[in-house]
Amino acid sequence: MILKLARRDPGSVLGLAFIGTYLVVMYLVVLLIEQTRMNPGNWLWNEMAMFAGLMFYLKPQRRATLWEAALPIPARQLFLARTLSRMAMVWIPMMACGSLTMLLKGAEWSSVGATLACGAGLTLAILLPQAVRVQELVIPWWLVAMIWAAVAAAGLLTWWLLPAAVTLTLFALASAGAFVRIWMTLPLSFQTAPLEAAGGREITRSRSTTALPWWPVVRSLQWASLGFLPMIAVLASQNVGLFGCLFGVFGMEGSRPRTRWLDSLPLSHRARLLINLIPVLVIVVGGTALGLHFATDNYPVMAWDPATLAAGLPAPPAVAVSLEYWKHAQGGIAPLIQSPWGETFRPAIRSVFGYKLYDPYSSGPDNSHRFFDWQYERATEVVYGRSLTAPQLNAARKAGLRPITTRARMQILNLAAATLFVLVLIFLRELFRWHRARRLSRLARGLLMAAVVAPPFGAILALDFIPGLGSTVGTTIHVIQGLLLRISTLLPDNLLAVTMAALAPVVLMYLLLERLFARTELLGPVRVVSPWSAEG
Amino acid sequence: MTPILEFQNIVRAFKKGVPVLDGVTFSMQEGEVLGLLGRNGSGKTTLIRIAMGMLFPQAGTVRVFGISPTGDPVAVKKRIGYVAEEQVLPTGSNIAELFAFHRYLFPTWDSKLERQLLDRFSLTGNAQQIRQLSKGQARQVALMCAVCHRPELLILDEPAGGLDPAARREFLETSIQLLNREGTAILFSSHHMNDVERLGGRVVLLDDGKVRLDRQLDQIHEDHCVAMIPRSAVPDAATLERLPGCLRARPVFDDWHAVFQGTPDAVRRELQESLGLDGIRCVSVPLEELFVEMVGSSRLAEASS
Repeated sequence: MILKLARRDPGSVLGLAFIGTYLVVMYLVVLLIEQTRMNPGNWLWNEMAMFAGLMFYLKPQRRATLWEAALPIPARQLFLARTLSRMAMVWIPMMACGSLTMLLKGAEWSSVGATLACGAGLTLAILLPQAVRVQELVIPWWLVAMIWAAVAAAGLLTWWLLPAAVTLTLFALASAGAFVRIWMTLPLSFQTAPLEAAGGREITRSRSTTALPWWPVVRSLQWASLGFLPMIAVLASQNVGLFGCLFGVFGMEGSRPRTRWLDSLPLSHRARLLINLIPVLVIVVGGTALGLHFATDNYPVMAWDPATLAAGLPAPPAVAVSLEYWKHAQGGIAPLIQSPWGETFRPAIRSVFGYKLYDPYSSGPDNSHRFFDWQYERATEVVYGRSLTAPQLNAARKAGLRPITTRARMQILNLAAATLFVLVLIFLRELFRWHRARRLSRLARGLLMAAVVAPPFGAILALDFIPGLGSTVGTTIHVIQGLLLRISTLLPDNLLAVTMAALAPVVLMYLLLERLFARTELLGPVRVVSPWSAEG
Repeated sequence: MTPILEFQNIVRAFKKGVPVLDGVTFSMQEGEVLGLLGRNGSGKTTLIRIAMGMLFPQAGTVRVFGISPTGDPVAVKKRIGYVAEEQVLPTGSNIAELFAFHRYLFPTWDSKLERQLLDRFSLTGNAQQIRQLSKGQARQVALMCAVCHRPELLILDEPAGGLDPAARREFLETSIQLLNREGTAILFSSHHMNDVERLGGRVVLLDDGKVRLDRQLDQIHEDHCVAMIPRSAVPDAATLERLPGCLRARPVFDDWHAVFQGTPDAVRRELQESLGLDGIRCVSVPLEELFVEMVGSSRLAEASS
């Protein structure tokens, strides 16, 4: 019975979908793309965020559906079934992919501790909301949000302050404690109304208000998706904001059923689309803008200079810049770099999606220190806009010098790219609601689904699994930054012009989405969204 | 005169090869009351959503006030009031806020009517949160949202579903009193025959994606009957359905039950002549019985034939 219930839960389906997709793509990434060593710990943070988003989407405030609660099944079995399916969603993909990478590429066993600690953190996040107001079928979503915020804060603190093994032990003990508490206090059957209602307390009436006409619409939106804003901000501050923008889609997905009451009212498609896009834009544009404002300088110029060598590091003097500053190698061969005094170096080639690139600021073991310094100054000129030596750069960074990628025009372009990206994702999602798609056979719809789902999932995996040079940031992020840098060089030296140019593709994409939105339809019964119902 | 609502050969399927609506054609005139009947899944809600522009027909055309509801949905919806069983109101707001929003959207909003209805429905204060309303009260609020702008066409999709008999009667009588007497057309769907008989007007019966019956309610009462013919006398239902005036036939135990257009005496005489049988009974039946005979056990009838 428990397994049957667990199999019905969307969590198990998502777990299996994840494991399938992950295994296939990990296999491809690990075997077919030329990489060095994959470290599962590198992608754990992103997976953590993704799983948290999915768990949020699966309505953690609900212990069972109303249908399940009405069946003659003890609450303990319902609890076990749901917990099992959520555990499967977290642990199966995590362990399967961790094992696969270790088997195929020999990742370090020390990463196992980190993987387990992350899994334990997510396990606690699954169990802890179940440990409060145990009698109720549905608990308030804000309570879940508060508990998750506390778990996330505790997770971050322990991650930074304690070894993985200690973190794992702490989370495992807390999870076990939560499980025991739930098990001991579970009733035979859940209450389908909040405790205060069941207890006969009078429900307070709200006061009359003279609200603005659009208030009911604003209140109908899925504001819970604002929970993704801090995550997007953090990711954007580390120059991987595009990854976080994936979660912007949840804002739209949550709002569409909640604003379905507007469908019968004389509102244009444009108005209804804009209404539904409000939470998306708030979390994506707001989160990205916030993150870009506090963006970190990820040392886009890395140097192993003579001073470092003197400390005994077995490396030749070298300069390395982020991939976005690399240049295309015509004919697959890097040109010979020649200094003004005639010293030369031919950089190595790196293939990114079949595109041959070289680092024009690198040097080799046979080059002189003078050549190294010359390359270093050239690199800082392109990265920071000023020709600087290593000590000068350190001083300038302390005085507030930032790379050109974190300056206003690049921030505008990044913001536009994030908005464009989320609009593309929403467009792909809305394709399923296009009324013409309903005429297709099941096979054709399946193929369409695969064609539509593949690009965003490909993007996630490409952003996530293909490591960049000398950093944990995905290669794709560098490629996109490189493209934005090229676009930036083509635009006039005027922020207004840059803004207009950045907005143009966003507006075009919006208009395309608007055309599609006008031809979409929502099928199926309207879902009642009420804290008083089990659908809450 | 341009019909207020017109369906022409509407086809719509949700699964390839299984049409929910398969060539539905009928129209409504100004001030008309039309009851859309049919079993669960017969396509009533689909047809209504097509009229509202919420669903696209896969073939055929629909015009509301002569306008395509998917081409210019705003112009159409400004002149329509809509209440559905599944309609969900924004639970985070109170009644006053919801009315303020409707007042903003509909320039023809009648505040006097709003006050009258609030009194009539005993909605104690419009500061009440929508989530705290009972099902009946929520439906009353939905009806107020639908009628207070005095629409030209009121569409009610199973509006009284789930309400107790007193609330159902209150709801339907209010709809008629408020609007139809002033010339508003009403299209309502239901499988409650009492509702249909209370509202009167015209009846369109949907079955297997097609219009099976399209008559005025009075005509149906006067001019339709059910004939009960021994099973042994007729080989299959199709034979009966080929007879003039036969709308539908189905097996019920040892008899065929066939719905005929005509008075019981006239139908009995014609059947006795054409089949050469005595023992045929013909009776006038209430609308509910007629509905059951028309759409009930249709699969069984088809299987046996």
